[in-house]
Amino acid sequence: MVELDVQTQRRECVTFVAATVANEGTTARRVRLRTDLRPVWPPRRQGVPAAGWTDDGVTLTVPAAGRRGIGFATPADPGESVLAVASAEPATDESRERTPDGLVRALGDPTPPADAVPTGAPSSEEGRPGTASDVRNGTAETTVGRPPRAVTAWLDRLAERDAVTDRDRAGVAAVAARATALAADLEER
Amino acid sequence: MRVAVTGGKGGVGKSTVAYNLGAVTGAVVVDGDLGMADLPTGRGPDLHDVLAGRADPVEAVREAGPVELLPCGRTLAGARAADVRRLVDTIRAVERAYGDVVVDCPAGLAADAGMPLLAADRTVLVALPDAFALPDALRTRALARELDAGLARVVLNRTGTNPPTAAVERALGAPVTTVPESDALARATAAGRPVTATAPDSAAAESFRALASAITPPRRGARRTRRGR
Repeated sequence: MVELDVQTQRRECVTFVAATVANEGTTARRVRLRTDLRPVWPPRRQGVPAAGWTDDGVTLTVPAAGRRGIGFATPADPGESVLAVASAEPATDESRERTPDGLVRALGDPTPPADAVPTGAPSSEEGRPGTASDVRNGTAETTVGRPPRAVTAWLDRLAERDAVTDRDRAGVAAVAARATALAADLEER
Repeated sequence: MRVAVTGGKGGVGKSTVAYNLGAVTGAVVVDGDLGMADLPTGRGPDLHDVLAGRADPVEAVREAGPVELLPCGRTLAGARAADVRRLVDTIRAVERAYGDVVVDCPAGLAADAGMPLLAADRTVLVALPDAFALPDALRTRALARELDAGLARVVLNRTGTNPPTAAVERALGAPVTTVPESDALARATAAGRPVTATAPDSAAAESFRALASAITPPRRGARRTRRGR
């Protein structure tokens, strides 16, 4: 039902363990993996061990007919039992499912506003597809004069995707300044 | 395998990488850039039609060219009618019918950029050897990780001599494949063909073969231990 594939690599006195858990079944499974190696150095997020990790292993949910990968490190030498499946119960709680609806809520609807779509002047324009570049060049045949605010806002967001922002420049400049300061500091010593 | 080819910023060469990766792997390439499609298209139903419920995903796959392609429409009306939430089911349907899928993602981090990551099982991030792209690449990587489509490879595109491969690997925490600035690739792209067909011995073609081999999963087998230095 649940298959575990483990690889280890020993480098500079550290063992790196990479494993894949495959769930061949028809229901999602909450899988507990245990290791005898001590201490466990789990992956960390924002300075704390990633969700699901404990001193002796990890608990993760593997979707039906799916696979998940995990990895950790340890100073211990890989022995007989690097990693084993301790349990694989059906997962009851499907919370934190990333769904298309949730993604649109979180990231924003990319659809062009209704006012951006040419309504089409009669005969010669009708059926001729407009192009994104037509709109960017301001030749869309929606209204006379300035386009509606919703349209300009959407176009600005599109343009922003390609542009280097001042925020990007400031961020990189700050990193460069810090690196220069550190280098100068090292020079002095 | 469902690969999302993404890159945060526009203009880094995502579509070229997606197209050529599709050519080497035999995957169907889906042009997921709903607002700014740029992979070759033609007559027949396209992704806008599929996402508006007017066409079945398999009807929209073009099999005639050197790369199997599900192109996107190019009209604002089409983009407006398309429901981006249908993209996940669309990609799954293409995978069931054809096997591997490569999705060309749009720039930015709106839902149209996130949806292919939700559908995919791995991500290839394309970047130029340019420091300014880094903040965006980090945000994209975080989103891919959040959506369980971890970063499999970074493609450093249009590199010259001495590309900053090690620095990019450290910054993004993923191995890097470089694709050199290449006349052969530019000519192939202009002709709408994969460089592995037009100039199979070129450095660019070799890069795409290496990329495909790097992101394709190894055979599942017994536990292996490698000892390094």
